[in-house]
Amino acid sequence: MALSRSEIEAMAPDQSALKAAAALLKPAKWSSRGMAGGLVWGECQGTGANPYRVAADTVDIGSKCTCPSRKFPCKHAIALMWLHADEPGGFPPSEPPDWVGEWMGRRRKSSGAAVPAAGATTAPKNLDAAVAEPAAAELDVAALEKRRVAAERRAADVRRQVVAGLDDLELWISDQLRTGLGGFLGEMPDRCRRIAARLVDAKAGSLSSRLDELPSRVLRLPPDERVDAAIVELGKLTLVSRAWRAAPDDPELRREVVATETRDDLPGDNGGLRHGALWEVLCEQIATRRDGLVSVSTWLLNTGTDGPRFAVLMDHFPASAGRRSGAFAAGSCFWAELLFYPARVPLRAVIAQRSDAEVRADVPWPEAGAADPLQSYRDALLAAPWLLAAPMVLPSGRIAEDRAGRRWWLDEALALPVEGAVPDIALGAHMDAAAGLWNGARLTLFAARTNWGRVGFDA
Amino acid sequence: MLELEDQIARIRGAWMAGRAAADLTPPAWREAVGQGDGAEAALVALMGQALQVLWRPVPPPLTPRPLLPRLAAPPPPDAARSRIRRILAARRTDAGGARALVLFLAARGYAMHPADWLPRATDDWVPALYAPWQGWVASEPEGAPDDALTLETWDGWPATARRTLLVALRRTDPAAARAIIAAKAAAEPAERRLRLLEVLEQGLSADDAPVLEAFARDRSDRVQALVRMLLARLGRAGDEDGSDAELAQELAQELAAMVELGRIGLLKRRSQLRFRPLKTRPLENRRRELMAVVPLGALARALGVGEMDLVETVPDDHARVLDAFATMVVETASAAAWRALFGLTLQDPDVPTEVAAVLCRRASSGERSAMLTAVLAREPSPTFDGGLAVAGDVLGAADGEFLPRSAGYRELLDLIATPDQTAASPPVVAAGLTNLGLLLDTAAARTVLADCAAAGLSAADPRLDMLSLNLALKPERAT
Repeated sequence: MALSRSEIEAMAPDQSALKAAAALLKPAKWSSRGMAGGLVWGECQGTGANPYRVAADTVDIGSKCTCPSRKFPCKHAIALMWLHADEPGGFPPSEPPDWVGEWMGRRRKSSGAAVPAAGATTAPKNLDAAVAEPAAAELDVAALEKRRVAAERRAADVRRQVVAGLDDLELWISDQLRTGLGGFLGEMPDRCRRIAARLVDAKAGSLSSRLDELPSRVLRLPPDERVDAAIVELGKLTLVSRAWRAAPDDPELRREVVATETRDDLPGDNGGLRHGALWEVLCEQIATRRDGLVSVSTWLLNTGTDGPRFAVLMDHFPASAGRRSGAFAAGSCFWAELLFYPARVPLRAVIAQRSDAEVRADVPWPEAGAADPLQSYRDALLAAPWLLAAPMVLPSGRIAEDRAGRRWWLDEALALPVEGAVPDIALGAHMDAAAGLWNGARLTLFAARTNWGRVGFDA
Repeated sequence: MLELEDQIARIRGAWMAGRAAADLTPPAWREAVGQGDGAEAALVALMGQALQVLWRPVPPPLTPRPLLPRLAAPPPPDAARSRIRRILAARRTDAGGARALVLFLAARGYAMHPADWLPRATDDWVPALYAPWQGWVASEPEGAPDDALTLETWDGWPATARRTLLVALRRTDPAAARAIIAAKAAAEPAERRLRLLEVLEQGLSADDAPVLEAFARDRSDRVQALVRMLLARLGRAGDEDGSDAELAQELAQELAAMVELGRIGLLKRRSQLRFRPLKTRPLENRRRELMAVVPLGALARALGVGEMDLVETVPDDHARVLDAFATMVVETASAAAWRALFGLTLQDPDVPTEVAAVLCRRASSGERSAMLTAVLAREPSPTFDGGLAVAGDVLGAADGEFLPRSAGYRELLDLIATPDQTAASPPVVAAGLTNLGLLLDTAAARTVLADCAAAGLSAADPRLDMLSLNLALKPERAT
């Protein structure tokens, strides 16, 4: 049962939401659409790296979307219902996926649209007006030039501030060495917090976040490994700082030091790396950062033979927005063309185009490749020495425990200590292959192909 | 490399103490590090890279565990596993946890996939098919002799496998099982001793009494309690000559003073146990305590009647202690007395389902099925908790004939059809649908799903997960 256009107008919080929804009506923006009973759902590629999962109940006009918008219903939910109203045939009847079932289980039945506050005036809302093309603004060459000059001035100003911040960072690093790493390890959180705050002021936001998380990375290790971990962290900070000074316009270094470019700023067809492949979702890592943001990283493995072996879709949203359900089920496969952020070792990416057909069967993994599984790690750190870790595919092996109960990845030639949750089955399974993130000290496993099928390590 | 390692150790030491380390730069790095202001920074950058890529961790001695053994039953189809994981996640906080789901799968001929669930070594309720996994979890040595379990091959078998084999042996050759238990149980630790003696419960006979009496003064309280219970069923006290016997008689006399034996029926006169009204709550509590320790036979002797006289009719339960009496019967009554009360309960729709569930602890699968059919037909609760308690491990097999007449089922559908009520009592609907999914056979589960859809419940509602899983898991027979 499709909603009427007037019902959609009534449920929208305002005309701007309708207008934003109108921009999402292209079917190419949507994948995995379906319906069952009064439920409709779909996945919408928004500005985030992961698609947003949108579900709506057309009976009571309830809806749910994984986007961080505070409007309710958000533009994605409105667009989904609008699409369904205009073109119900685009929603093939099918079994509701797990995430729709989970939403159904959690939701409280109520009216879908937020109730306007008493006394609030409700501006008229209209679907036709929302799709109307805005009158083309006249191009004012002088204004454009003025804007360009102002942007350049701002960029130069930012660069000056970052240089000053990096001067302070390098002085800070030499202070830590000069006053002794023993003292640094004892006061690491406070000292890192102070320099991170200075870097925020200096517009070096990315580097500030890296410093903010530094203590937690080091303190996770046993005490006898912390000195080396601190040296690695300080060394990498020095490297990235010097590298940025040498090439401040390099997009990767700018991302490491200043800020990540937006999806719209990615080079796209103009030199950006695009690669289409069948990707297996290895795992989803969710971490709450000290700055209050929740970071969601979806690790993908390229099951094909060419192109980057791994990709990571990364989104951030405020912790206050509540828990976001994952966009992908671990173990599922889908074909997509990914657009990679420019980097010496391309890894972070966004979905440029995605095929609707989701392949769930076990797609064979590529061979581990070189005889030494750590070779790809060394190559990555040679190309971009400021990296702290790199993903890799491991050949067949086992997980073994030492006497202290610590887990190790073990094959004929290699033993790597494992960090993070290891399900019990992994101790009794033979791994035909595994994928994980190695940082020189610990291996964080994502998933493995075993004699018991796929085993995930993200529990 | 050893030389470089030594140089790096010296640099590390200098930085730990707050000394400049540029002078300690390894010769191969000197050109890159340079001299002057930037040397220390260049050195730390090179050190960072070197520490990350030049060395591999040196592992302590590592021995992987044996591979997890394959079980006799297959894992469920992959398509059903995501639903199983969802049900497990939803039941994580429930009292029974994964138990009902594991038993359901076993009843359908499947074993859980080990990535979804593994038993703990201490889980004493898991079906016997999981014995190899329990042995693996407990890190028991692998391998087993080719021969059957005998006194000679005992030491070659892992502990979890021994118990499974003993249970099977007890069924086919009770005397052989008894002989092994008599010879080996005393040398086992308390927990295993208890589990071995429990094997005697199946097919308990007077021949087992000497073995049990040998453990009457066991150092474990739990073993002693088990032995007392089994000996009571055989009509024997654990220590007939000691001071304990006197105390037991006194307790039986005290309990006898709190009950009375009346006669009911006009044409067919039968005796009926009645629980005397007691004046205070402490006295009522005392009666419950006594019923937990006094065997049925001892009570009968204290009343001057035979054991069967106490179970000629269902006792009068104004005092609401029928469940305590049922526990007394199920634990200590002779087989004939237990069967008599079980038969009466089966016929009497007024006996609460909790009491039926208690009596089912000694029931065979067939007897449980019969009781389950009776209980489901009269279950008034929309949660069907009573039915689940009665069913035990007899799951996924109840037919749906009772559904049209069931008051509990009607109420469940009413709650679903009235969203306001559903919102007010969501756990009731969730529990009812899940329990029906555990209890019913495939055809009945399909009926319930159709009824729920007709009542307005979305097919995607996760409360229907157990019913949908029921449909997806066709009975599988191990080959």
